[in-house]
Amino acid sequence: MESIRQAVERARAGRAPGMESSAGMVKQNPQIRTARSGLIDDQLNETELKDYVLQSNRIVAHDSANICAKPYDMLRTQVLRAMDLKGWKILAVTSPTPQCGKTLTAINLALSIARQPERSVLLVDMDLQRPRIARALGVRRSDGVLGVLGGDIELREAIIQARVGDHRFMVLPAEAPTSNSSEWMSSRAMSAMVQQIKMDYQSRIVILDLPPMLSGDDVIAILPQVDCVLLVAAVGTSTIAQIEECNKHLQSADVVRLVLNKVPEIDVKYHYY
Amino acid sequence: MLAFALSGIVGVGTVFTAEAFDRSIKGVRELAGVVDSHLIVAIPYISTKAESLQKKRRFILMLAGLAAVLLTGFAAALYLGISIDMPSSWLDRSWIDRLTRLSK
Repeated sequence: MESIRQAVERARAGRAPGMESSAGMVKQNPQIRTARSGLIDDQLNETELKDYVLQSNRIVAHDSANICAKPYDMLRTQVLRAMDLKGWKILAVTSPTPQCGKTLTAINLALSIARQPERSVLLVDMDLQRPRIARALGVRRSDGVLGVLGGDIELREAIIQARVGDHRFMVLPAEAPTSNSSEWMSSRAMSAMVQQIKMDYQSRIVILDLPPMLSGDDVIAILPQVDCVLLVAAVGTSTIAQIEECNKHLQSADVVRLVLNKVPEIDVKYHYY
Repeated sequence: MLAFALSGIVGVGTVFTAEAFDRSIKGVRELAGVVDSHLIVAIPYISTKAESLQKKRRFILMLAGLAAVLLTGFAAALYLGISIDMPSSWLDRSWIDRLTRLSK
């Protein structure tokens, strides 16, 4: 049903499938170069992700048989239900402080969504202070978010189509850590890039992996551009005071779920049957 | 004996002090007071293969260390001519079964 609905939407918008960014429909922003040639998804840079790299980085959600993937499937269902109800497409993932498993949650959630045949997902590394997605996936890229923001590369050229087994999802990695991440996050170029992503990938769920909330103003700067937020805390790392501080900053945002990561296995039971 | 008792007291005291100063979240229940409980999703710790191997290795090392300490004790007792008067119930088969079950 979802694919039919998307096809109808595309037809109404006068776009051909796979050519979501047609020249006539997208208002060109001088700071962001868009692909006017209308590349289809098959023409994106495709990279096959290696299973041993994923496993060593605790990325499990691509394997439905793995019991560790079950909590992410539960999270996916709950998050997607909430997003579908409100028509949201852009989900920001953040945590109070580093080491809470924010990037891991974003990647596993993206892979869990990618396993659903009628869904597609774009994962964007917006943690410009400490970009981790490319390394966690074992992807080597010289171009990414900063290249797009600087106008050196087109958005579509920077996006990788990652494949693991039969499942595919799109990744926009970030190249290297930058000291002026806060300036980039509040820049017009960033607003333009997010708008471009919204328009070009409107049929996809977009997951933005943001920096930790309490380590700067990066998240606060980008919050008005996202539809909803997934907050990730961790046992043994986060404190109640930090969660309360995050809540204050997130008062104007829609927090779709709060993930408590690294819970001892005895406290969370998922059963085979 | 006194040293043993003191070390025990210091150990327990350290654990209690560390627990008292540790404000980090320990479980879902603590979060329920701050956020609506229906919004909380718990995700268990995911161990990598390397971590699982390390855990097994640590357990084996611990057993080996314990065995080494016991053997050294027996050897020292034999060397010093101290008679080890172990009740026969200590070497009861049920103890070996219990230890085997625990190690699993």
